[in-house]
Amino acid sequence: MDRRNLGPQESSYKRDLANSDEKESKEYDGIVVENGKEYRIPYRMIREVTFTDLNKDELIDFEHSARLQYRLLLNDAVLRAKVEFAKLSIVIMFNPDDSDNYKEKISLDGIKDFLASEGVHVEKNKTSLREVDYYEEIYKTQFDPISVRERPPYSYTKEQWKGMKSGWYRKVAETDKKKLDNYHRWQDEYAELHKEDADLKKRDGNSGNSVLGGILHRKKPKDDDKGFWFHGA
Amino acid sequence: MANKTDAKMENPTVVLETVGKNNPLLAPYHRTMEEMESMPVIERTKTVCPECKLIIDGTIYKDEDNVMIRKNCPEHGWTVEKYWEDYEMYVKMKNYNYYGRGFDNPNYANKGENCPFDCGICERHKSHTGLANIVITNRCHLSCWYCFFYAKEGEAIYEPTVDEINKTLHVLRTQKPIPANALQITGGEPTMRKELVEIVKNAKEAGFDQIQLNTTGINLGMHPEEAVKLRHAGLSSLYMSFDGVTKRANPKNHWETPMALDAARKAGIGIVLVPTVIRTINDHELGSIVNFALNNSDVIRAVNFQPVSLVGRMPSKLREKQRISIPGAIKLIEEQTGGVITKDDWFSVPYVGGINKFIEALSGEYKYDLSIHFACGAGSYIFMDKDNKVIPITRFVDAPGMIEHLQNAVNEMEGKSRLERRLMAVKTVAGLRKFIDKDKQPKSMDFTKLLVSVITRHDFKSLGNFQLKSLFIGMMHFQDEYTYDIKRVEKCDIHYAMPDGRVLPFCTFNVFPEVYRDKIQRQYSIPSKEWENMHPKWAYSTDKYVRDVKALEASEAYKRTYADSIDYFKLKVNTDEAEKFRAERGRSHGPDMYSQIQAVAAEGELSDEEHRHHHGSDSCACGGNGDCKHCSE
Repeated sequence: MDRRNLGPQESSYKRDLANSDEKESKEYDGIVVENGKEYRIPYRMIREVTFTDLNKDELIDFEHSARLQYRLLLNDAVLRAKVEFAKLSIVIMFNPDDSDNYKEKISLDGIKDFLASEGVHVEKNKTSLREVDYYEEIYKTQFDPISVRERPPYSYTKEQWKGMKSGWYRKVAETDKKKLDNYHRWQDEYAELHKEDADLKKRDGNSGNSVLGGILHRKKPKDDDKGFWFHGA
Repeated sequence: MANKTDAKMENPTVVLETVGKNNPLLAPYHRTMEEMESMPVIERTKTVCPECKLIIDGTIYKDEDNVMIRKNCPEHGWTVEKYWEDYEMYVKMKNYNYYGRGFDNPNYANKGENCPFDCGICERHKSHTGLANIVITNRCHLSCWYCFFYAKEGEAIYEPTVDEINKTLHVLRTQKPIPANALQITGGEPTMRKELVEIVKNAKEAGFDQIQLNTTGINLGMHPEEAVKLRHAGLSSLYMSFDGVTKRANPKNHWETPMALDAARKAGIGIVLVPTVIRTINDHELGSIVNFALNNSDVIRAVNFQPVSLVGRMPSKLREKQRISIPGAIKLIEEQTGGVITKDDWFSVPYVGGINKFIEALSGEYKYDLSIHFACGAGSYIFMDKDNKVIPITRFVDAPGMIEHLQNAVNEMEGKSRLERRLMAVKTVAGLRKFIDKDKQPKSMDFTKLLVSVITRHDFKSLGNFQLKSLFIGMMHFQDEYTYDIKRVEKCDIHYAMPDGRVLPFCTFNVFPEVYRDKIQRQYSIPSKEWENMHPKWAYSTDKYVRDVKALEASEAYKRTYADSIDYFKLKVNTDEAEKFRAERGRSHGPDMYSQIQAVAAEGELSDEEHRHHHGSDSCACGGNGDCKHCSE
């Protein structure tokens, strides 16, 4: 399913904030915690403005619309911009001037002024504004993107691939495990050979459950071996 | 501001640059509009105005031996630039162009209507990640005059945490249908990060097979034990800057390279030399660089030349003088190796896609695509036989014939059952023998056996061993605003993964840094003051490396590396073979291009503007010794 068909998501940050006793004192600290690990994110609550029914003559054509998008993106407070000539609309995600972070900010009026300076005039009744949780709607989706299509390997049909797919994933998982084992075995041998060259830390027995865990090992078979085209790429 | 070409376009009958007009290298820049319009158009594409970034039509056309691109911005006028400096090679390379697969799960839900300003990566992109870059710091121990990629004093520090890097690795390894498999850790200077060993180890455990470190090699040369630790963690190779064999051509790490080679030898890490090629600066040393690699082939696995990408605004005269494209560099290599490595020996990167497609069709498993645009990269393998004979792979493999043979088999396999595919594969593999000339292959190897093993058993380990006996020579030409071609960038497979989860093609990330690279890094950087508070012992100056030239030149490693080398291209066994090859092909040695370039370089003194560009560097006309008014200022 195309993510763009989904309606606006409820922000868990806003929900948590509403349920929190500290709703008034809580300030955004730039850190989110996932599985006990901390990640810095530059924004939390930002805003998205959509301008519709724009004047075709002001957007001129696809090329000028793309340049307008580029010019919008030059502003550090504009996080995303989409100027769609075909739909005569502009969607801008921006860091509003009342946000609780220390990054560049811009007001809605500032955006309108900028667009006006580019020759694009927006109408108040064709402007919609919504709050966006940067973490929930942007950051998380970019790190965990959904599949929008599936293509079989070269020269196979979709029907053929349906029958092959599960076997392939199984093989990949097996190979990944084998690859990790080979890597650790190789590390032990290497450490033995170079024990006088450097203070090589002994591997802990837990590496299989390392930072990224087993879920990431998606790899072609035999990939403990060396590919041949990366020398120069 | 309109450039000189613009002025000329306003009045087509006026030829402003008579000097350039008479020089074969510069003439294509100095045609009248009428002359240009009379030249055969090869194709039309979309590009950007270097000045205002308006997406405009680009016309790729043939100008004698050159392939040029011209574009006209309604506001900023015409721009004319060299696209590819050899028409014959352009046609040959284009044969291997194909559209690959992008991502099934693009990070940025977007169809890319406003490409290249919709990057993230979107659905429109046509190649999966072939090589993923991760920037782990913007600190550097050097301050090269031409580099834009390091933190100057007082600027914010960009250093994603180890956890953030792990999250980025996760994004790369969960790409569909083909997870990224090769990683380049870059900077700044990545060895400035104290957690580097941990980062490499995490990448290896995340499943990356190839992990490269993009480095000057200086820190590793000084601390060889670190190289051992990195190898132990899983580092595969050093992607090491090396702009020439002389001090003047390579002021960056000429003195430390010998120690870096020794450190890599000890640790068992392969080295890829990466010369950035700039015409009139180091283009006379390309043959010597390959020879240097052959002299150290026990540790150097590849040389990857990068014709300069002239990013940022620069005077048109300087741009014309410094511009070099892939064929330009290839032809210089032919000349400087005495014809031992010729332009016929090179193939565009997507050539390899033909082999991979065959293996994929046979096995039913996704394989790496390498479906980049043909004008972005080229490569070849050369072997050194027991008698010091240098043999390019094309001398014993009919590369075009072989790839056609495999492609035919892929077409035949379409929709067939596994059993039918295997039968076809047996026939196809048996037929490969006719494309290999056993008499001409290096005596120390059986190429047919190796190839059959790779294709039938997917034995990439054998191929790894094959590489150990060979030297890969490659070319990678990144785009700039002048040469920009959207058809190229949408096929890019060298991607940057960023801490906000986005993945960006090299030539949007670096060509439009103001909306991608710098903008995202600013979002995730730590202000200088805050960084200082977090690291009380840190000071900008303590990051910087101070070179002791005398001590380095007196070292045993330095003398051994630079003084005791053999010029393989002048050995009789190689000059005779080159002569024979030329006779077979009915070719002369080729035009003496280098002397033409010298003529360009010698054309008068550099302008003030050009001086400022090189100011205070070894590449200034005065040699950076302070003799000119700018360097002495």
